[in-house]
Amino acid sequence: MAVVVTGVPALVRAHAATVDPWLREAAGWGVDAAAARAALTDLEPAVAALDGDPEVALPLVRATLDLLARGRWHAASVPRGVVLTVLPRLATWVRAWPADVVPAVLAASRGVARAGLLDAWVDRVARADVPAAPTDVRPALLVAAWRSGLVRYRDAALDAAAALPAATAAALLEVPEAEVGVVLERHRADRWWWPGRDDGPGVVQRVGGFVGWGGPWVQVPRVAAGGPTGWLVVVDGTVGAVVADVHGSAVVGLEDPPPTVAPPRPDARRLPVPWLDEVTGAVPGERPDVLLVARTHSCTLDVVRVAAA
Amino acid sequence: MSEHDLQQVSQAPTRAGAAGTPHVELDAAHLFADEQLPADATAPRLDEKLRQAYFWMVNHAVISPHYDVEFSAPGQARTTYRLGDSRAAVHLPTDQSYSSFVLLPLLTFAVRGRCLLVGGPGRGKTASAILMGVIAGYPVRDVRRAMQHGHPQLTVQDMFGTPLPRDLVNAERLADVDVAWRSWLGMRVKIVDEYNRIPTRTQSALLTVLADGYVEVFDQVYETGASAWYLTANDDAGGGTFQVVDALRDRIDVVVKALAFNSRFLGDLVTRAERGVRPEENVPPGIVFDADEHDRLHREVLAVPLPRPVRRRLEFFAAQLELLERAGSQLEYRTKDTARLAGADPHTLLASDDGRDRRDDIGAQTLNGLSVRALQSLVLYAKAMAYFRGDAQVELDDLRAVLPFVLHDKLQPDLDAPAFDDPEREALRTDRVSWLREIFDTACLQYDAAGLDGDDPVGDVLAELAAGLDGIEEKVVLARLATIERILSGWQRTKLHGDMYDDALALKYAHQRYSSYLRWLRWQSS
Repeated sequence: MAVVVTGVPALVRAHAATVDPWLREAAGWGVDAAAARAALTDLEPAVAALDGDPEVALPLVRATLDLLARGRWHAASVPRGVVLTVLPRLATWVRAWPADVVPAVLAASRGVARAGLLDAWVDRVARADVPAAPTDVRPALLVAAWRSGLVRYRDAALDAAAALPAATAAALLEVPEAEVGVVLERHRADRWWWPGRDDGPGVVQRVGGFVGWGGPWVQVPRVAAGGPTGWLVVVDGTVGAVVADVHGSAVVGLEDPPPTVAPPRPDARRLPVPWLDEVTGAVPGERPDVLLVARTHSCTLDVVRVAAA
Repeated sequence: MSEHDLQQVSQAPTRAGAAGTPHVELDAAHLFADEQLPADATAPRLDEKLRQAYFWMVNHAVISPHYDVEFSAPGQARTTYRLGDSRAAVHLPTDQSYSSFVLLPLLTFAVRGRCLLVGGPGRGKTASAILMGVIAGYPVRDVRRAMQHGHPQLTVQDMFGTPLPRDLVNAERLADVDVAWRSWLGMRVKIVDEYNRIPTRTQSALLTVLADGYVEVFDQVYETGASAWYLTANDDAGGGTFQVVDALRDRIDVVVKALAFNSRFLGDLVTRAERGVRPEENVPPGIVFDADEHDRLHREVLAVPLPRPVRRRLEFFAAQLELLERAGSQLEYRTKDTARLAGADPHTLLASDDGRDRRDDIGAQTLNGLSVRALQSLVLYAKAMAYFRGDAQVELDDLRAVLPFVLHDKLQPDLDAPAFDDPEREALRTDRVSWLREIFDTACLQYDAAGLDGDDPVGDVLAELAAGLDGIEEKVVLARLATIERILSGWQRTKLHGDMYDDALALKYAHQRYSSYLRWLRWQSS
């Protein structure tokens, strides 16, 4: 049973042999004592939330000093926020596998935060049971990232979820444990299907949006067929590939855009959609009954499932 | 300039759009990319790794906040501000631009070329060369030990190896004398400090290693293999202890100048001194190229295609430089090389050449033309530049960027030429990099003005010939001969420019090939 020490200074003193090399390394990169003290003081509430257990707190101290040395310990820094607020929210995970969870969450958080999905991702991870083995930590975080909306990780996450213990995967995917295999297989075949989602005609996903409302675009986008995913968006002088599934969407800029041909303009009144607008183009995707639709007065593209012919 | 973490390598992609086909699907390696990838993770593309090495060097190792290798994004003109009485232009490039002092040595590493670093003492020339050795995977100590320091007493044996004394006494034949070769000869990065202080005899031996990759001592031969060479000189304008042998100078692919230190960055120097951290001792493993990667890097650079429009502009530029109408009587000998071999002054002959406008004709600004070796270096470095920038093929900008550094010592300006008399061009007498860039730009403008991309009858003739003569009928040969003669006839009333001179010789070559084939064809059917 580890001795519980309260307060970061006491913790550092008690484990000086472990912490001193980290401090010396940080000093080598220009970190002075005052900066190190201030950063470790910042860490106080997070360590307290994790009960001050040295085995749990020391990886946080290590991460803090490392971020400080890299110049990433400032108010606007995502990793600092992860150490101070996210890791305490994932207390059960951190307590179970501190040496694995702390670096993995820190490494993944920047990418997830860039997509604006950090909170959703952390909530999903926090709701899930802790993996039974430390080797399952990273696959679990990957599955949670995809399930939270990072669609570009879809294929890797489907493989990772299939390899995870059913209980862990079920908690992350929010499906019954007995159905994990079936759900993964069916979803792999049809990216627009998910248990509990309406699989009738209608809008199944939205892509992009106006920059003023947090979207990526200033101009109204147009759609075209082609590129690595079959769906292209032409907007703001750029061409991007649209990647989407039932959980999320993303646009990947293409440096060498393929030639784009204006797609047909279906009658909007025949589309099962909740708006009246002129459609500028609709491109079928992997399934002929799922279209990527652009319209005259919207900066957002809609993925629309039409009634089967 | 961040000095926080010497082990930090810029995140890929370091150049947006240069990562080839974009990753639409991502995986765990991407999600956890903020930290060191596991050993079994997919290795980065070598062009990306090369760019990461460049950015690590400029961010952490060499304080060179210069962007003298400028690029502009297509359709985005650079912004220019003019300062002072001389109207010195401050260009703000619209695409990723680079510092020649760091970039050219790195490209030399990639193509295993020969780079000369020139500049005053204490400008970081040797430090840059040492970094290249470390990037090749050698421990700093080994790189420092392997560095050859030029001095007036340096002998061939000091430099390359010594015969074993025991063998010298006992051997009955030279072949029995074993030579203890110096270990630096086998390294993939070779550094010769202050090469212009090496005595002439040793320079000649060095030339053999540089040019042919082998050393000979006491009839023993050592194959050094392909390697990147870095030579340094405080002053390459004859200020060394010994005059550099012309042949050795000609083997150097690129010349890079250490630019002046920007005093605004003194703080970085102070920080570095206080911390006592040496960049060359803290090179991140992620930017080190092992022998296999180095080989692959070279192969990948060579595989970058050089498209015809770029090649044609280079041909046009090179063609302007060699013609000297009054140097000879026969067409083939009307070149600057003829004048030089005869000991005549090309400037005098150029001055008596009144057929062309000597201010517009770029050939009138040089005392020599380009050697085959210079053109090979130019193509190789243009490919390396394109590779580094992630271009699928060599663009004109890539060629334009490397040209001044490759031709720096290979193209001698005629400083008495009228083209330098213009007050606005006065500075080009001393700024050779800008001069070279300017004459290349002029050549490109002339090429475009002549519309040679769309109308190239000589190119068509050569393309037909390149397709082969097998099975060509007599009437076709006769038609092609008539075409050649018609083109030459059409040029009789125009001034002879360098490109026309090369084209005329090419047409003569084609005419000779067709004539010989026609004779053979008629003999066969008789």
